[in-house]
Amino acid sequence: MSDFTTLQTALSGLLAHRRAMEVIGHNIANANTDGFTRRTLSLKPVGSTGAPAVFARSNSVGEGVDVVGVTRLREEFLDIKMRIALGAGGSAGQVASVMNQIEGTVPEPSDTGIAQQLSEFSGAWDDAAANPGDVPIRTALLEQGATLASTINRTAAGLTDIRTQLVSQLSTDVDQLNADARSVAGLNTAIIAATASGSDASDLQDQRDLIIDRMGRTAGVTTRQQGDGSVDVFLGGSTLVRGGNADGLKVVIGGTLDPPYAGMPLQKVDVRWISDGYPVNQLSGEVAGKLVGIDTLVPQYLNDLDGVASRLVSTVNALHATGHGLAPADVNLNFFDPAGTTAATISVSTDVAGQPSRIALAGATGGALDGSLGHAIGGLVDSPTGAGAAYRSFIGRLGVDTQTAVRRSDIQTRITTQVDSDRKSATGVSLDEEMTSLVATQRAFEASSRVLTAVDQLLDQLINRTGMVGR
Amino acid sequence: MINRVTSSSSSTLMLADLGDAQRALTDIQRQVASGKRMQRASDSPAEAVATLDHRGHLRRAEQLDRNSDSATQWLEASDRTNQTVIDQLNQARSLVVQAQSGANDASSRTAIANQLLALRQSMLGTANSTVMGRPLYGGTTAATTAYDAAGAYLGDGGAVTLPVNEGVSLQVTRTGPEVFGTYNATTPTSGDAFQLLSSLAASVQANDVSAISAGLTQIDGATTRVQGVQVELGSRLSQLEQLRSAGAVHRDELSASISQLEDVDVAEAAITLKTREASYQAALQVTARIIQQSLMDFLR
Repeated sequence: MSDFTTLQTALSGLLAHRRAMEVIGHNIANANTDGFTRRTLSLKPVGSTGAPAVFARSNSVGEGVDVVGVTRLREEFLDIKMRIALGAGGSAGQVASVMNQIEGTVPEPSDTGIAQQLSEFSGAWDDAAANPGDVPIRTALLEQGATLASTINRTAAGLTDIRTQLVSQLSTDVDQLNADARSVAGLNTAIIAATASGSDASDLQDQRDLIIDRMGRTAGVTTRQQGDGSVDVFLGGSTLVRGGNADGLKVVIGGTLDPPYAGMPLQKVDVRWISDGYPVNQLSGEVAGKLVGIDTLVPQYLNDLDGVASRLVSTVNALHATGHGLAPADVNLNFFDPAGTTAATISVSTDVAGQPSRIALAGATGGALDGSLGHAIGGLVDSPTGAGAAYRSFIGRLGVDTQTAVRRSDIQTRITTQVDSDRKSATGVSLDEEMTSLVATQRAFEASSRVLTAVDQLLDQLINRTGMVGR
Repeated sequence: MINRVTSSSSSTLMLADLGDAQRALTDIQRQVASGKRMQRASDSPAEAVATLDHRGHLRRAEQLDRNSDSATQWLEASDRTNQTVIDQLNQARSLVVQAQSGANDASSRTAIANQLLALRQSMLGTANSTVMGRPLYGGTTAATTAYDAAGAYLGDGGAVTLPVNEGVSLQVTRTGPEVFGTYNATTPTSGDAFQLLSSLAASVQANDVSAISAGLTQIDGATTRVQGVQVELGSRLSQLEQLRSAGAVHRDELSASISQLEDVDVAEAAITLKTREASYQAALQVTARIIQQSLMDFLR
């Protein structure tokens, strides 16, 4: 062991702690960077020799410190948990948002909603039946019927609009997911190259994790870390990204909806793989939430509203056809157009539109000014089998479903927040901790330079003052 | 590892908690501002359906009350005109009694006969009374009067009925034949009241004593018939009054239930608002304190 070895030891300490300070500085600088993973410097002592030979003796104590590399303190387990939570949360949040939008199209209880208009419609029949000869009151009844029909039409159009918007948002989501998949593939390539050349790929990895999180929120992906530093991304068991290659998804519109909504005039929307055209299994995330909204929720409530409309048309027409208008010859007429039995198509029939005197208020055997049939129709809406009851049960179901969806989304948000906080506590930068490390590193640097000074003084003693006896 | 607290992990949790507190505050603020406990059906689905149900019943009850208004008009008009008809028949009766006394010469008999014919005319006018533009005694006819000038019935046998309460429909008038009797072409004396008065006038003119005394019984019969109708419709009017006052109580109850379901208890809401405001402020202050703390304040 030479005297100069200790100088080298002290130098290695100085260099290592300079490097440690760089890492701490990088951590502190990125304390608020989204997706940043804190790093530490891995150090290892440098021994004098490797494995000593048999019977060989060495009195060496080591030759300082060596920098092994920069370690990224990532918890893969928490990443997996987070992506599951993000997928479930994205899906639940999307469903809740769709339900809120659907509920927004039927604002109840209110003084302006369909429930109110149904009651006003029923009242208009009674008013007209009390004065069957009064044509202006009949006109008011006709207008009330037209207003009710157009309100139901407008609500149906509102539901269809929600669906159209969801489809266009779904396309945007799928495009974003495809772009993200390509980014991950590109980053994989870069990370494989960086890892092979031994350079630090931490920042690239942070960027990749951030993108994969976003993909998790969009479609609920799972990942597998590979030995070469790349990450494979899976969607429902199939590969979306493998190494530097990325597949993609596409939105397919066409075909009938699944039962029980197969008969509705809406096209099924599906998400399929670009490569082989098969549907994607086990989707979650916002894409899944939007698909549920498009293929199940909106059709379901539109179907319920169709039920209200067809109930209204069939009950009113059935009674209306039995009576006659002001002229006894006006028999077998429809009040609502019998062809329009859905919420989108309900309308006042051409039998009576613009001809209020043809509205049947009189029963078959009644005189011209008989109002018995009008009163009977007025009582229809509120009867247990009438349109009012159908509408109330529609609102009840919608309310319960919305409440459930919002609660589920709230719970998922809490879980996501908790997992996110756990992950940030594992990977995030704690300024207190960095300050402590900074103090320790600074002290170690000072101490190393003190060692250097001590050795220098030792050598000075040896070189300049030794062997000067008697001088 | 989880015990490690970093500035980003604590800010995530703090933000989530602050968000919850703020949402609770906004929620109660909206309730206080709008005065409604329920903004949408999903706030409380069961109560929303109940309140929709109550609102439907309330509006139906209001409609039935409007129907009762019409029914009252019809019944009162019927009552009034029936009384007039009874008065006119009584006048006719005293004229016939006067004619019966025998102390009348030809000119006074002519006068009595003319008075009877005039009474018939005014009774025809009464029979053509209208209510809300419709002939009161015309049934469900579209004709403008119940009887023509000659006394022939123009109406039909239809009953005017109005639903005045849940499951209760009232017939609010009677047709001409039910009040005045049926036209009889062969024997006018057993025909309707108008035929009776004309034939009595003729009998008085001719001093047909037996026909005059028989006419007296027939007038009594006609009066009894009208009185029967009047009593029937009068009792219906009092039944309607009872139904209406019961209906008013029912509407008040429904309004109270709706208010109970939908409206905010202002005192309770105001206290909740204050409590949530205080807890939100406390949360903000605590968060501000904790975020300021750092090791750097203590390192030299």
